[in-house]
Amino acid sequence: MKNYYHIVNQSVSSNQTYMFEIALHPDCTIYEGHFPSKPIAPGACNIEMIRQCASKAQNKYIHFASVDTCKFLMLINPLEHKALNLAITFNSNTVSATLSVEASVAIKFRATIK
Amino acid sequence: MKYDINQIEKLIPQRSPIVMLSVVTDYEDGSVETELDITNDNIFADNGKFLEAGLIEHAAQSAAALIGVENLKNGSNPKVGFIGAVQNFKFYRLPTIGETIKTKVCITTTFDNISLVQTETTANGEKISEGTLKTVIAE
Repeated sequence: MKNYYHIVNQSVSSNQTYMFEIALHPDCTIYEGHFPSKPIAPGACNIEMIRQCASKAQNKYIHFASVDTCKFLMLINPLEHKALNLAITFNSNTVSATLSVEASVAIKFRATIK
Repeated sequence: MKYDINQIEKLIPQRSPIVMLSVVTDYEDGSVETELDITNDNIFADNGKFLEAGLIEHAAQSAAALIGVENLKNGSNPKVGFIGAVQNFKFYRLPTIGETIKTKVCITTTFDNISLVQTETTANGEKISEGTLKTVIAE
């Protein structure tokens, strides 16, 4: 998954929430196929982006034993929604993440870490 | 009924580089079986493995293909579909580059344009992932 996004800014809040400001790349080749008539950020790519950011937060490779729940609440068009906010928290072996576009929640995610 | 790589585009709206199906090997009412040959240029290949996200996308496109076969039988084009939710999707092993994965998808519930589907993926005869997807078809 090359050239899909980059991290603009990264911080950790006092309650151990890892915050990532993310910029999607509308010129990523994935949009040639998803979809030819209209670019929509693939849900699966956003799951991989969450895994990569969670790995970065923990400074180790994280893989999932299960994605317990992942709700996609809005379509993300990379031309309109370039700036995303990803908040990640860890609790024993689970990782929870919320991906937002401005004030709207786009993805609510929880996985068990392998 | 079998659909090869050239016919997949009649079933699903996704195009290269995010097509995660190589062939639809079997179809019956309410269920479909698919395969994906995992090549090293796959966008979800990483360090010789095929990632969790790839397994989810492959399962979701298998579900889309099932709806696509039914649409094709009715003479309509592939409709754009999205994953509404992933539930309890387990990964027992990540497949390696060069493996062929096989997936069976069954629709368990359909309401309007929303379907709940159960997916199970095997590689080399071994179950490697399974889960539930909620798919939404845009009109």
